Amino acid sequence: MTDTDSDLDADANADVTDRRSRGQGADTSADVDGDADRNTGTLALTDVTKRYGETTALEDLTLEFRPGTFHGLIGPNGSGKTTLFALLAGLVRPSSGRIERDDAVTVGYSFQEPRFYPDLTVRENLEIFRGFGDDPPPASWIETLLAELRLEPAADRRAGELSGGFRKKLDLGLALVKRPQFLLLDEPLADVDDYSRRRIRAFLEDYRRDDRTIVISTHNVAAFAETLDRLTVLVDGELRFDGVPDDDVVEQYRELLD
Amino acid sequence: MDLLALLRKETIAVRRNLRLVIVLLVLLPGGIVAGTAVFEQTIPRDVPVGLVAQEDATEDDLAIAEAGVTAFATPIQYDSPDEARKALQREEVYLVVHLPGDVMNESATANVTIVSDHAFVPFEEPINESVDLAESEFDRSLPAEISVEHDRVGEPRSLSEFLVPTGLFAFVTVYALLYLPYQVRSERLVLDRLQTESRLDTVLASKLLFYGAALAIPVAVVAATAAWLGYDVAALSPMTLAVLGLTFLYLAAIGLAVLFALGLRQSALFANLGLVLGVFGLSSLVYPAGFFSTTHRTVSRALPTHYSAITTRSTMLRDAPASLYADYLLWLAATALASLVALKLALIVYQRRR
Repeated sequence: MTDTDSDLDADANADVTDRRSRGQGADTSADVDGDADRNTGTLALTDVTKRYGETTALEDLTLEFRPGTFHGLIGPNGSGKTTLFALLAGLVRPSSGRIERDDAVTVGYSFQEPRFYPDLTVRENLEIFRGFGDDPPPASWIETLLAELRLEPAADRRAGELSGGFRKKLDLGLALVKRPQFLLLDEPLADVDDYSRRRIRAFLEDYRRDDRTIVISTHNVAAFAETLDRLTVLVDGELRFDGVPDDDVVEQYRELLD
Repeated sequence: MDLLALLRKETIAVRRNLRLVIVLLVLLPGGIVAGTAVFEQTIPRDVPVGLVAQEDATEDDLAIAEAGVTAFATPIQYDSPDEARKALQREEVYLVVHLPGDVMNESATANVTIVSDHAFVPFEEPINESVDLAESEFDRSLPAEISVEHDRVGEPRSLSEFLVPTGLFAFVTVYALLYLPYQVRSERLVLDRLQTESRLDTVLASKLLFYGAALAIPVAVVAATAAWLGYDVAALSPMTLAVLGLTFLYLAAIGLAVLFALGLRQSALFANLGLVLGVFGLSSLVYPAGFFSTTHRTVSRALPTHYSAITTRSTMLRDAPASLYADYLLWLAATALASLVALKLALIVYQRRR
């Protein structure tokens, strides 16, 4: 826990409930298996440092990602956000410190640079990655994702031939395809058109029901200002703030950077 | 000025890709030239040749004959013709000299029999050279009047038939050492996502399984084409498939180990190209081990690819039991295991560097 954490815990929980009621996104409930997907797991870092040679990407970071929150991970370019996601996803190991992640916890990761099979179509990519789960969601979940992420027009096109926006949406779809309890989204709205942005934001707000956690990494705090339950600000690999965001998150972020 | 700017860009790009440039412009040509050092001669002088004494030959007869054989080959003594014949089929030796007992008798005419294997077609012409050399060496070193008879064992084979297993082995080498690493590298961007869903070991195991099983297709094509051309080659025998499968496994594991040890960089593909050239040049695929030099023979005998080539050739062309090659198969299996361990270590290095 950081020193800002303890005195903000009670407020944070109250705020989560309050903000959730504002969610007016697409109804994904028809495809949700209820308690089976309920998030009771842990995803946290304790005293984590990550170095690449002489460069320190993250310094002594302690953070917890709580069930049911829309958690903003904000910071300027090069602040360590992507490294933090790579640690949480298990792609890199910390130089020191501990990452707590229950075995039962499922994590979906949408990368800053989309990652998919370029030779497969959008639909084939979704079907292949859905198959990785021991208990995958019903096949209709793929249709829901295609519709909600506005991927339907590109469903049968080879992923390698997609434009930037569709590539990003496919990557988001792949992060969601196993309907994970923790969703790590690295700049999820980059290259996405305005209409799709609104649809995706609404969909994600709805998705966090059943205590699912969404962690958004971005340097564009305004894009998710209205939806954040919790704010973590990283600057140069160090924790600048972790707690409940102010009403004016953009202004709060500016002040933290100053 | 455009040209200057573009040349400057190329210089910077070379500096940025120094590892690739070193492999492509330094190690590959250097390796090719260094490899030529083992090709010393075109008349076989260091080919292993079996020496079998017939019942009435003495130790002295053998010693003198061995000295004669040394002039054109490397002699290896065998206790019985059967043992020597097996060695011929295993390509431990490429000729067998049967020595009669009366070679020390000045007034006798001794019939020395030299046996070769029909399956090793490219050695047919050089064998005649070796037989002539043998005759003159024996005449010079043995008191008896020497007459040399040349026998061949096995079914007569054409050069085309001989080249089918050799070509198939060459294909498997390119497929495992070049194509599979290229295919895995082409999917390098998705590897990060795959690692969030599965283990890298599992991803590579699926590649080895799938592309290993897919090898049945080119083998079937080779079998069908060979049958259409009227060749008598057993391309689809279980033993051939087992040898090719093992060969694919260890070569693919080595190719992938190089790929991951070099961080999935392009330079890994060129390093693997160097390995392919090494396999082709040093495994004695077409000419006998020792044909070009003793160093070439020593290197060949140390390479598992040499035994893969022999076993592939034998299962496709020779009518010999699989048990004759049991130790070769064991060696190939041990190589496959060691290659998989090397691949695992390369994956650990790759993941720890991140």
